[in-house]
Amino acid sequence: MTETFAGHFDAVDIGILWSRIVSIADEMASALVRTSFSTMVRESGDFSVMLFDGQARFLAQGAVGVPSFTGTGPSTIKGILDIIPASDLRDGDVVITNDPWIGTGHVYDINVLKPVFHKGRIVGYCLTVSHLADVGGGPGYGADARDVYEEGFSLPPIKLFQEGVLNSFVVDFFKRNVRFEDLVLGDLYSNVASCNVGAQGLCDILAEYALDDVAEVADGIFALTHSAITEQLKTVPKGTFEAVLPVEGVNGVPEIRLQVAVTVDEGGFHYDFTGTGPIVNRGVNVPICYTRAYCYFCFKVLVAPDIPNNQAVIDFVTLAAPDNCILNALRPNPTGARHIFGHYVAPLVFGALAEALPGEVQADSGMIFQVNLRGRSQLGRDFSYIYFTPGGYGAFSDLDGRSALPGPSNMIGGPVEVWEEDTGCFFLRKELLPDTGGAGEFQGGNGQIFALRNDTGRVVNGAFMASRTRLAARGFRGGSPGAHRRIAVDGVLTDPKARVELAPGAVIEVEDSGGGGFGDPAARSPERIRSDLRRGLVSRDWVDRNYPAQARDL
Amino acid sequence: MPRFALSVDIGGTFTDFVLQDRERRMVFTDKVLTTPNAPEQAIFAGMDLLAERSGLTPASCDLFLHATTIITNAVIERKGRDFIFVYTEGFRTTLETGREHRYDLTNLKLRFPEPLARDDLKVSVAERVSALGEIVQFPSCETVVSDIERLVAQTGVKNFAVCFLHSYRNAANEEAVRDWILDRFPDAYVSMSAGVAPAQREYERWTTCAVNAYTMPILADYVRRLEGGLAERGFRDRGLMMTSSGLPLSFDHCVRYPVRLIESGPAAGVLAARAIAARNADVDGAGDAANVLAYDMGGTTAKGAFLTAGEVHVQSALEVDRVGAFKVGSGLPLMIPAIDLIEIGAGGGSIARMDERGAIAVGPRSAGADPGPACYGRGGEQATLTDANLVLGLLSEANFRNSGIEASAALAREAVERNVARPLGISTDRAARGIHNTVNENVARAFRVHAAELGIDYRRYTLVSTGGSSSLHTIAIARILNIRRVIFPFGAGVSSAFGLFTGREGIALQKTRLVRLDRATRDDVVAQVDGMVAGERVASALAAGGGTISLTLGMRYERQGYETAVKIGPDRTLFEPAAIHRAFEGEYRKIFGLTFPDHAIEIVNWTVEVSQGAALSELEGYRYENVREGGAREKGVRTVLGERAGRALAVPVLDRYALRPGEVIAGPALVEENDTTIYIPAGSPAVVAPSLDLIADLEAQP
Repeated sequence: MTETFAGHFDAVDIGILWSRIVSIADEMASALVRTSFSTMVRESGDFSVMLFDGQARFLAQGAVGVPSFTGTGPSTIKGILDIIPASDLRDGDVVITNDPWIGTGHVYDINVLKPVFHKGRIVGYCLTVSHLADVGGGPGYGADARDVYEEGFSLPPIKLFQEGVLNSFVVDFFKRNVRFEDLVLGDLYSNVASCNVGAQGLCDILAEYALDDVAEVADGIFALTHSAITEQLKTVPKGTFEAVLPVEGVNGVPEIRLQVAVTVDEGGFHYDFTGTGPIVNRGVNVPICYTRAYCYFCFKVLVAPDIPNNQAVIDFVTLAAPDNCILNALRPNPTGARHIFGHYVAPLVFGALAEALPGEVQADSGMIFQVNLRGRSQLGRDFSYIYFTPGGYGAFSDLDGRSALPGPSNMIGGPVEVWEEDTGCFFLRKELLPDTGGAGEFQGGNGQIFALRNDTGRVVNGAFMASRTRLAARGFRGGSPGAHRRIAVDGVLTDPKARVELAPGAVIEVEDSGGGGFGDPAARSPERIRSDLRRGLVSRDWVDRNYPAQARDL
Repeated sequence: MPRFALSVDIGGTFTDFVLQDRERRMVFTDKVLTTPNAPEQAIFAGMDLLAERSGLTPASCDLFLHATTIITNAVIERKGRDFIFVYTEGFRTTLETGREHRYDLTNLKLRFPEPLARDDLKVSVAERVSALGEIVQFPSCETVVSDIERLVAQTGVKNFAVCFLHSYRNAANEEAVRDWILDRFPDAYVSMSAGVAPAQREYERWTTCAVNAYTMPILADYVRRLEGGLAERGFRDRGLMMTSSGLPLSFDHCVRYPVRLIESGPAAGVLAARAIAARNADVDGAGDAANVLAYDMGGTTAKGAFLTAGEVHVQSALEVDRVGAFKVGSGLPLMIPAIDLIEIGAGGGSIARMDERGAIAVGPRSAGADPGPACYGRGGEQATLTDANLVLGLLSEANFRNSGIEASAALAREAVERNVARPLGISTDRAARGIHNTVNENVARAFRVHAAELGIDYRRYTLVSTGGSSSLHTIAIARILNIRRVIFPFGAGVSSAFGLFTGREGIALQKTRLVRLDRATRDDVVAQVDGMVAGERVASALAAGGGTISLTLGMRYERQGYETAVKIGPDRTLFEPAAIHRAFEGEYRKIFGLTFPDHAIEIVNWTVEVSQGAALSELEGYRYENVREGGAREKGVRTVLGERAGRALAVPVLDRYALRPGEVIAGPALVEENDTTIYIPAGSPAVVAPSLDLIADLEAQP
């Protein structure tokens, strides 16, 4: 029996140090949420934090945040270091960028990178990402831009701090280019605060264990991960699995086709998106970094859900997508609402693997509804906030989908009471909508209905970013689809990617889409149906129609 | 003055007693098995036992102090009572949809807590208050009363949770509905969200109110039985229960706010740690008696709390019933003033395994008492922390005989080998050491993260160790954290009951009211504080009786969403906005390492504590009734396995009850007592203090 492993650490030591490093990422996330200003971070969770080793290998991520950013992070750090090489970095530097192709696929997210120095050398990096309230540009965050320039400025990687000194040029640049400078600059500094927490945590570990570098620990983490996943992959059927998924289009294009062939072998998942439809001239195109993030995500949740994410997990994934297909949009295509299509990579891949991994895949979810609202509140504060509702969660082979739970992304709507105070808009209603989940042996989650009235006394500009109004969440393996989403402004049905002007008193009403069911509805247990009836999730009528066999005996 | 004071802590397994005899200056302790279905039965049984030993008669006892897990258990086991949820029309499912968030990013199959409210017991009310606190719509008495009467007639349920939007800003609509309910049903239980948790965020406030309603009839019934029994025995003086904030409150007040008892026992334990550190303040050592880290590990969980400058940290929110492996966000959020406790899924029964990473994981799953650790031989196949400690020689088979368990080291060894060593490809000794170390690191990590959130440098803190499974790990944890002084109190098995005596009767009031600091004056702050005190019966009575009024503010920069707790204290000269500004910036920099000088600062939450200046009772200088005289100091020698394979130590085993003040234990040594075993490694000599507490000094470490 060998007692050592990766230098002078064995698996016991590595396990302990690994947990410690993950907890530093959690501390970074907590600092970011608690110091941030915009609701996107503090209420909606639209952020992520990551730690890397000195060779820019991905070590750990915070437990909360959104999955897309942890997928883009590893390519972001490489993109930044291509422009500002590690040799040009000094202790106390902080580099930022919002370039969509280096960062997260659109200009609205700021990526903040801090090198961690120990004994004069770079031993790691902290990377945080958060959605900013504004980055200049045309009408603001939305799906309707015709090129990337309309969407706001793209700041190439630049030092916000040089050896601990604030770069006043960058600050002035923001002050002259954004609409809500206090929110934007506040959030910029809160990202820096989070990076500082991470850097301190990493240095503390090195000091405590008398190490010069984390590389040895990183090697140990990656070796354990690699062998655990290799083992896990032995149980996954090998082959190439294909799927096509139409997604609601924009700009006169009725549907856009997503296509994937997933080759599963002992080396991991290899995705080929050949056959996917071309880019469109609206801001819904997806840069490859964002597509890659969801490829990582699918591999992670299907094969290794309980292994903390790191470089060795994502090294099991490769992908290819034709240039300027909608999942690999090149510069300068507009990408503002790239997530509308990007999120569909998950159901596309789950669909492809439904027969290979039936116990792991999830039926389609209702997908997030999103509206960006810009206006001035009763208290005279300018605001630019996004409201999210999650739709119903897709079911699994052994678990009902929860009502009003986001998937695959993880945005949060936030409390009604906070929203009303921050915006001066007024919620008339927000509650679960019965009969909206897809029937199945395991039932899809319900959507909810919400109605929001503009009580600010002024015009509020709204931009919808949503789907599922024509193409419902599919059920898997015999399960039924969830209900469609319905978006109305003052009672008039409205396009899910429209930009609207809300006059004082105008009402947005959204009936949210449900999640798809899993398995044959005839196999659903009467006890579950009874419980759904008791909990008001379904009506007796709906049960009669969807579970006729069981309904007779209820 | 009557001769006796009694405290009782009802735990999951045992009900602990501490009786103070002021005449003989003596302390009696005892333990009886908890009687979950009628907890008062254990109390009466214990009182009878103590009466035999001490001469306790109810008439000679003027103080009855109480901590209990009754509320927590009712919530976790979903054994509360049905209630009618009365809500703002249009928001029927706020309790069920919750935060609409996955608490684990990369595990899609998630569990969430079972809802507390029944959908067929909901009454919608057409009413509304705006975000600014204006009444947009006042409810119709006629409609509300007829809807409620109909539901009561159908179901017989007369327990209500009234939950309206923005009631924390204006409670008029909730109050009106409460009054109409009580007018129609004078014997009804009514919880009102603005009364239970007057703070912003509807899901959290309503959940707190729902938990309050869910448990109120249970506590009311229990208190009625308890008071009846006490009265029958002739006890007729003050009865107080410990609340989560560490302030004991009268029984009748607790019955109105049962949700505040969620951390009743642990809060008493934290107060005990403070008193234990204080009573050893004169003993030489590197630690600081007013700065304490309280640590307690039992069978399934470990708990910790920091005390700074003798004060507990009180937070305004906590989470119970975390169904997703202790993960934040997987439980029910409660907005109540509570001692800031860290809870970790680690204890003697925690199951060790090779996890998905290929490394060792311990907990949060626990083998519980049945089947228990593998060494019990009751069919437990899994290796637990207790099994690992038995393999290491830190425990011996003999340790279990007190509890009537025939433990087998061979079974422990088999389980560790089968479930951890073989899968990982390491030796059984190394696996056992790995399990032990993983728990040390898990506990230390949780403390470290928590300290960072509070902005605390814990290295000069004194670690006070209580709980049955703690003390084999305490010094190792202290070393990881660079803490230099550790106290193992005498009588640790009943420490929460001890802690009850040291509480100061009082109440914590909370209010959300947004005030921009640059637009406030000292008079505004004073008026807000005095208004809160005047509006609460118990608080104003305490204040009138000379109680201390202390202020803590939840503050943030304008447009942030999370508040930082800033303790202002009782000194009203510090209510000046400029002083509050300084206090906030100082605290903010301590936690986050920066401030935002250009941003306006706002006060969001007001916490006002009104408490009596003195502890309920003093135990300083009291003798323990159950200290044995004489007896052999050394019970034998045991082999303990070291950090790496092949290094074994011969460690003397000492009898705690034979140790006398002034004795020094050089270490390595194992010190055995009834409920626990302490490990003193080499390099951390421990001295027996006059209090009989054992104090280890880690300054001497290599």
